[in-house]
Amino acid sequence: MDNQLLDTFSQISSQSGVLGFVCADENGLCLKAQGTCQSSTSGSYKSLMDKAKILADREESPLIVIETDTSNIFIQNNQNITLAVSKLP
Amino acid sequence: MLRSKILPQVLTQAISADIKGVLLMKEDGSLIACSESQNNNSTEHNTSKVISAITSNIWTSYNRTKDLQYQLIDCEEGKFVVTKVASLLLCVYSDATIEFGLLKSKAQKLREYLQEPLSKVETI
Repeated sequence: MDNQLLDTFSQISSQSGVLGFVCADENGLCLKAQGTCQSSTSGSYKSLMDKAKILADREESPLIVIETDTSNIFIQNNQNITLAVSKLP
Repeated sequence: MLRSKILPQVLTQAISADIKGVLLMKEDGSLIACSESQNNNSTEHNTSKVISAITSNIWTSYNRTKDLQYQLIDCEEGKFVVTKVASLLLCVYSDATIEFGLLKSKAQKLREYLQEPLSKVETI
């Protein structure tokens, strides 16, 4: 039932420089979290995406990048699924 | 007529490494069909009966306004999602490693699949 989803997750985690990722559904519930990303943060990423959509004021979903000294977190939303990927800077 | 032998096969589709079992039960907790993981340590059929009795009881307690859609229960050693399909209850339970989003989406898909045929049974 969820093989395709799990394959995609393993593809993401096998990319070079990826420290971790968290995937959230339309309610902010965590679908999967791996690496440095905590499952408890999924709701925050979903909320951040909702706010960004209001600010962007466009049909298309915005890409949010959070830059820190140790990692860059890329957050994007597609078809009610929000994905946040933490990568090395 | 409801082909009852097919029901556990449908429920088995949601079983994976982390999902321990899927139950279909009446609101009073009596089991209609169930499917359990092969590597589930608690192989006794009694486990399903106990889980269905407890989860249906919790559902009924919280469903006083009759508009409850999903119930997510987080326990020390596992997680449960309970939802209503026609007049029956569907319960998907797993170990604690799986996330609620994935567990709920499985319950949601099973619910969508079973809603129509079980509604027809209900009207007969």
